[in-house]
Amino acid sequence: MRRIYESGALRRDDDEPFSPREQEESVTPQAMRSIDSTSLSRLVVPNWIRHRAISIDVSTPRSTYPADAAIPFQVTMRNAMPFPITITTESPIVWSWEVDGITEASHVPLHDPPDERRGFRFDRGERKQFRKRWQQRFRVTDDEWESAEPGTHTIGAGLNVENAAEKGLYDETTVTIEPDAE
Amino acid sequence: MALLEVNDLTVKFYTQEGVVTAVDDLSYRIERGEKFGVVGESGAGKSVTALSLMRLIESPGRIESGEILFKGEDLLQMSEEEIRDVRGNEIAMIFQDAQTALNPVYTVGEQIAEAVRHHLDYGEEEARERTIQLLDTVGIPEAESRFSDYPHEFSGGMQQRAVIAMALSCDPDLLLCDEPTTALDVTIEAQILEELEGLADEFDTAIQLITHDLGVVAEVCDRVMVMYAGKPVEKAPVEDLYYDPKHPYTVGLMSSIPRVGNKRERLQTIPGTMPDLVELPPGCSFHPRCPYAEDACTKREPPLLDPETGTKVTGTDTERAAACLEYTGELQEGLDYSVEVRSESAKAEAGAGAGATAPNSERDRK
Repeated sequence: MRRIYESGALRRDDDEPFSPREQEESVTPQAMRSIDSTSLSRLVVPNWIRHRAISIDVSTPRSTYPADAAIPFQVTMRNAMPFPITITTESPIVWSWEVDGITEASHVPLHDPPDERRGFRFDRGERKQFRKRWQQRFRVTDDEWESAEPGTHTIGAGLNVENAAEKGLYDETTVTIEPDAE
Repeated sequence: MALLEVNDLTVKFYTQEGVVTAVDDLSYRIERGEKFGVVGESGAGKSVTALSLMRLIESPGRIESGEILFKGEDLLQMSEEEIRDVRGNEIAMIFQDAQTALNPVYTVGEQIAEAVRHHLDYGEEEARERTIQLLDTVGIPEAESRFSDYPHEFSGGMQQRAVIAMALSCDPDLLLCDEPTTALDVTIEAQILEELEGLADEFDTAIQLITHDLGVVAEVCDRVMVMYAGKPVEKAPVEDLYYDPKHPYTVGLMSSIPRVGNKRERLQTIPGTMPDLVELPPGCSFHPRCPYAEDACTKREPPLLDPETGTKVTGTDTERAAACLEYTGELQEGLDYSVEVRSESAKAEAGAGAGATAPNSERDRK
């Protein structure tokens, strides 16, 4: 911690140990030592760089699971740039996951987000990690679910931007559900 | 006409992790002068419900749908100016953490007097007198000299009382108490609850008491709503809830109340924790923790049902409802718990004491 006696703001002599020092005119003040790099990045970084800066990866610990076991998966997003990146998303839902192309494994829409855009901010070199679980169920109506069939299923996740896959803001992985041994 | 009627209220928070549905399709009503309890664990959506009533939900939160009718007018349709007239005046709130609720740079007296001046058009001197009187009512000693104290000069209990004084300052018709006594010790808690009850009776104020303490509910409330993961799971008059709980979660809450003289070695608890509201389990949200869960519970979400008839309950008029598949006949094994009232005197004192009056529910699966 910087102490007052290290700051040079006081003049100390035998008569007056605590008199304030005259301000030295020659010293230029250090104006704004940091800038709001998020806003700056939003202003100066073109969209295509922003999209290329962010990578997304979906992974599961195993590739096969027994029927009815929850399937954990991890979504990792990374900003490869040494400066902050803000991606503008279509709605306040900044990213979403899906199973076999069905958002959040639900045949009924779960959310009706307001029609407004949102900035999804990544610090320089930031890695965001989200852990989710798919319970091997598909929601078929508001209050009913059914089990997923054994076989191969695709778990994907992408940022909520137009054509996320084309822009490299979508990734997917496949898992196999083994049928019951009985 | 009910004083407050909440219909299908849904509140969501848009976070990086996903969409948190803090309150999901909630309906209830509160009559004039009624004391209504909302119970549930942390994260059940109790506080968000209360904040929605005051329209104090901030970004990234959003009231997605529903209506909040207060004296027949929808609070969600009001302009910011109109809602400011209601806030603190007709609906007041006692916040959970008094130290945070009070502004540290204004004196306690000034903070209370401000509401009085604003809503009741009192002059400087009149507002001061009314504030001193209020501080005295809530039991602050030497109220006149404490008027110009700052919040840090008050003890925790006194801060809570100051917040209560602030809430009562404009004689509201509805008082939202968000765990008003959680931060206090039991003697102060008893005093404050007594004061609240007395004041409510005196001014015919309705109280919505949010708490996770079932003892407090038994002492104060007329009707109770139990919430779990943003949804109501049981609604009942307070005596029915204690002597005849219909939802396994309520039974779990009851059996986890510590009791003096209990011979059991360990306190019974509900295993696990409240699910992540971003990612609710499929089917009944409570099934991963429910000792009676069956396969059907993982595939169907039960609506609120009349436990007697098994018919779906909609709207706010029902006295008794529980959200469990038991009442649709879909559970094969059924709910296998029994409620044992240890002493008859406990029944006679229904609603008169904390943990001790709660029935002993044996929920071990036989």
